[in-house]
Amino acid sequence: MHFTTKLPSSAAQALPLIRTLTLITIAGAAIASRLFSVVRFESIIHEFDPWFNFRATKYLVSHDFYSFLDWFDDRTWYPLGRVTGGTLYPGLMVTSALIFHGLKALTLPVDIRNICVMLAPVFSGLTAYATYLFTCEMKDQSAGLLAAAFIGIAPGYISRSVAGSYDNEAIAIFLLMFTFYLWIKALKLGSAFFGALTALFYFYMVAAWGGYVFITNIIPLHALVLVVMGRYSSRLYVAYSSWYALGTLASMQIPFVGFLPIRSSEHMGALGVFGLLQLVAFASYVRARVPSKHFKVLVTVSATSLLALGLAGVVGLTLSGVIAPWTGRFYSLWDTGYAKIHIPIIASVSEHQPTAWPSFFFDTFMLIWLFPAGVYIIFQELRDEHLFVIIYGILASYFAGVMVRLMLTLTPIVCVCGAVALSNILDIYTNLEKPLETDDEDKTKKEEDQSVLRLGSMSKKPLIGVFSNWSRAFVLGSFTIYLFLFVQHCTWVTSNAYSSPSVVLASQLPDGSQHIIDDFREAYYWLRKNTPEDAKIMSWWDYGYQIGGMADRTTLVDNNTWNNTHIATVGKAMSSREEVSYPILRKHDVDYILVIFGGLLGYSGDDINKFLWMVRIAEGIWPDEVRERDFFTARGEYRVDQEATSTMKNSLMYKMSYYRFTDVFGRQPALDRVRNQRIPSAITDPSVKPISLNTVDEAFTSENWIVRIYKVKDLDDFGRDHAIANAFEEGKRKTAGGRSRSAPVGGLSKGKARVLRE
Amino acid sequence: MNQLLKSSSIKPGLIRLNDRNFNDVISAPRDYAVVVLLTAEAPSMGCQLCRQFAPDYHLVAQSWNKEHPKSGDGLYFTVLDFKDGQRTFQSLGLKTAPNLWVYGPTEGENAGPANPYVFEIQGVPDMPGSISRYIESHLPGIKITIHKPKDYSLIGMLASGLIIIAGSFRYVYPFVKPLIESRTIWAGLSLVAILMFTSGHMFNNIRHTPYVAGNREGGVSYIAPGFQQQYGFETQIVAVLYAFLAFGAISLAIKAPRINDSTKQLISVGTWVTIIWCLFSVLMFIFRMKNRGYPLSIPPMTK
Repeated sequence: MHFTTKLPSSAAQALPLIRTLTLITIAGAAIASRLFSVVRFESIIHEFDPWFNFRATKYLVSHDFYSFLDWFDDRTWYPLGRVTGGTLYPGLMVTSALIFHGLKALTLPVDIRNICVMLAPVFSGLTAYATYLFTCEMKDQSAGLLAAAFIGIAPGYISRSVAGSYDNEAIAIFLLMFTFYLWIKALKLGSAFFGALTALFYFYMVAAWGGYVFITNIIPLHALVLVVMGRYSSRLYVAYSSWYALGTLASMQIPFVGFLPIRSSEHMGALGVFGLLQLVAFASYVRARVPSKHFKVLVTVSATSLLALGLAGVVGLTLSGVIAPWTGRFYSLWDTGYAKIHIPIIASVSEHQPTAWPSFFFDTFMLIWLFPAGVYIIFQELRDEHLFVIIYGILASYFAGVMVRLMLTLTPIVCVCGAVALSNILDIYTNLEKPLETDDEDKTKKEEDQSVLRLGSMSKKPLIGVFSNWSRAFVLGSFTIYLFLFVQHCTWVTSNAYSSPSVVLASQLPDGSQHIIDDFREAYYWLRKNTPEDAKIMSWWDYGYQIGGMADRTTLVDNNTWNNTHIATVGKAMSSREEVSYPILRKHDVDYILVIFGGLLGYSGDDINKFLWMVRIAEGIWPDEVRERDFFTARGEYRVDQEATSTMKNSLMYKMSYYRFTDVFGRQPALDRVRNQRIPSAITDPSVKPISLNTVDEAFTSENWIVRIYKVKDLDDFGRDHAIANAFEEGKRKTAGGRSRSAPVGGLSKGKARVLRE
Repeated sequence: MNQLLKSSSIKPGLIRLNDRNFNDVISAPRDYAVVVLLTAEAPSMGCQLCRQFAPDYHLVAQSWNKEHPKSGDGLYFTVLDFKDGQRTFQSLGLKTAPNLWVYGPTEGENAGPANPYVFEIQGVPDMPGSISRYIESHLPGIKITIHKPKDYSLIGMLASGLIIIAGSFRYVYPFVKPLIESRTIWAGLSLVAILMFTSGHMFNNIRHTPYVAGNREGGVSYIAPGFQQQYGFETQIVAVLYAFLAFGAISLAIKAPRINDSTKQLISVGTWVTIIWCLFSVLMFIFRMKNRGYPLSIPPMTK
């Protein structure tokens, strides 16, 4: 593989320029392909978590940095509040705020929202550059350019970095790749300068994303593998020690991280390898100076026993509780059944589910099979830095298999390995030199060492080259087609799967034109305009950030799921009968309840579909009062129609979702379009009692019924029970309608239906 | 009760009941608590769940017995199998098994109702623990600590295995060394791991997906419909496809340019290019079966 491209000197001079232009084009393509949602909808923040980040950024821009760090947010987790400044990763917000102030200083006032929306695409351009640098260290610049192009448009990364996806991952993947590049550079050069730079970007990463633990563990693992393989060198010692010492100290400056690096098990690996390296360095130093064989043995033995002592110390400290054991989220990566039993709140999040194979293909297309080829090719040479790629590749593919979300960390290495494999093929088949056929095959065949411990080629035969132009045409032709398909695939996936803001939905009208469904913003805007500023809104935790960000109202629970019990309380209120829920609502000062209902439109991500998780989480705390079994029919089905269990039908969530639902349909069957079940209607079937709500009033229902808001009633003026008070009011209304008080039950329901239709 | 405990125990702490003594045991008034498992463990009954549930129940019973060895101390674990108690099953109107009923005491300081509490067996995770918790929550004053029996054979095997490995290390090492250091083996292992993980093995492992499944027409369906699902067989096909595709790329990059014969090389390159092309086409075909709206394809499998 040692082709030297012979180019005329003028062309060789132009190469850096071409490279730069290519990189700029790649960055442009990376940014452009992330703008589908801005073009289709508007410049809007997406989904759930980004709304919190956006709100926090606005806070940071309008206050100073220290009050941001000290921010106690009393508008979430009512009545507890949240120490927001101390429990977030500030990197993202600080980045946006710096850009905001920088542009302002250049007299370019840009709205902070637009900065937040565009941050992820811009950083994806930087990621492409970082991946280029990283791959250059692995093979050469042509592989680097390929890798940059791949990561620029690979859907696995686009999924978390489209415009508007203002989340930690938006900048974290750039930091991840750049930190890895600096680490490789430091290791190769044995440079404390690059080690310190690694630490600096590691610090930035720690400030930006909880996934920094991946770096904290993979660099020590790389160092450990090098030591075990006998590849210890002073370069490794310098690089690792400077990174670890500076990086750990720096990472402890983040309030949310604090003393974790010396007190939690996730970080112990890095500390252990740091200790090990000191011992190995000492032992190799002494061994090099001291002639006596016995003394060498002594040093080795004492180093080993010191190591054992250190290990025992860590285990002892963990058992005695000084070092915190692994956190549940991290632990569930190894023991995959753990979360399901012990932390349903983690298991309930859809991005924590295991990954089925189509997702891998969907997110990386042909790179997924070029990836193992690239790893094999990297095994050919097996330099120190190549080991890093192999470890990263195997670990990341395991993690991506366990959790859909971690496809994100796998994608960069898939792009790097795919690029190495493809650029190897391109190198060989674009080389137009015609090799000479030789007969003396046996002479050129060398017996080469195949050990992993040594460098050098794995193949015994020498590289000859390509004889026929047909071969070149076949290979280059087919791979060019694959590359075109890759671009098409990425564009299709990005456009169809990853560019929906999920705050605004789009549907197609029969004539093919686009229809925007804007129920969420309609409802949040209603809340903002029609409720008192200190109103407390209860909803399932998924919508907490959006309510905080768009409606600016106090919420009970939100997407920062730190308090399981509080979430379970909301779950219990939603899944219990009104009489049970009402005291809970009163105790938590709830003014409004917000539910998401997709039955009318066919929006499947609604609360009835999430309802079982509310039940499960509530059951985890109150196993005697809420039972998942009661929500399934005798045959074990989850139904919402006539056959639904009475627990289901009487639950607050069911009632609020289907309240007056059947009225829309009149005499037509009331079909729930998500679950394809018919809701019992009092209009078509007089024996059915319409759903009545005693303790809450319907306050608002959005255009397509996706968001329904209910106002919680005050205590009755006469101290009556709400059900009795309601029945009394009903009776009055009946009399006013000219019917006698002793009307049969059927008459009452008819009378009510009439009133509702007026 | 203590007599029964001595005479009809099938396992320590577990009393076997039958039609004759069942009513005597549960009849009120009683100053003790009884847990009854109404089950049908005989293979002829075909009750899979009964046999699955039995070991967990036995473990709870044994754990109680371990702390209260002589007498039951007011709590007895019993089993009534369908073959010993058909009449009882009929009179209780039971049509399904297993059922776990907890009869509390009707006399004494913790007296409760005469009727039993019914434990929902279906769909409960973390089995022995939830049985004991259920009993504890319904019978005041009862505290059950689960004692998992230690698997000594496993420990023994591990220990002896370690000793053998350590002892033979000196003699075996020269032979094992080339294997441990072989780059081919390490590369092979890495590729196998990567192929396994990227073809959805962990999903199968966590979700316990079936290998294949029956379809509506009574045949066998090998590929699960839907993007978020998969069958075991399907992932193996995908893994093999990935493996061949990757091997094709490796051959083109490493093997073919080392062939010292122009004709042979052309044939090799042509073959691998064709194989990659066809298998990639198959892969996209399978993917389109999972994701109906997917627009891309290459011939020959373009449907």
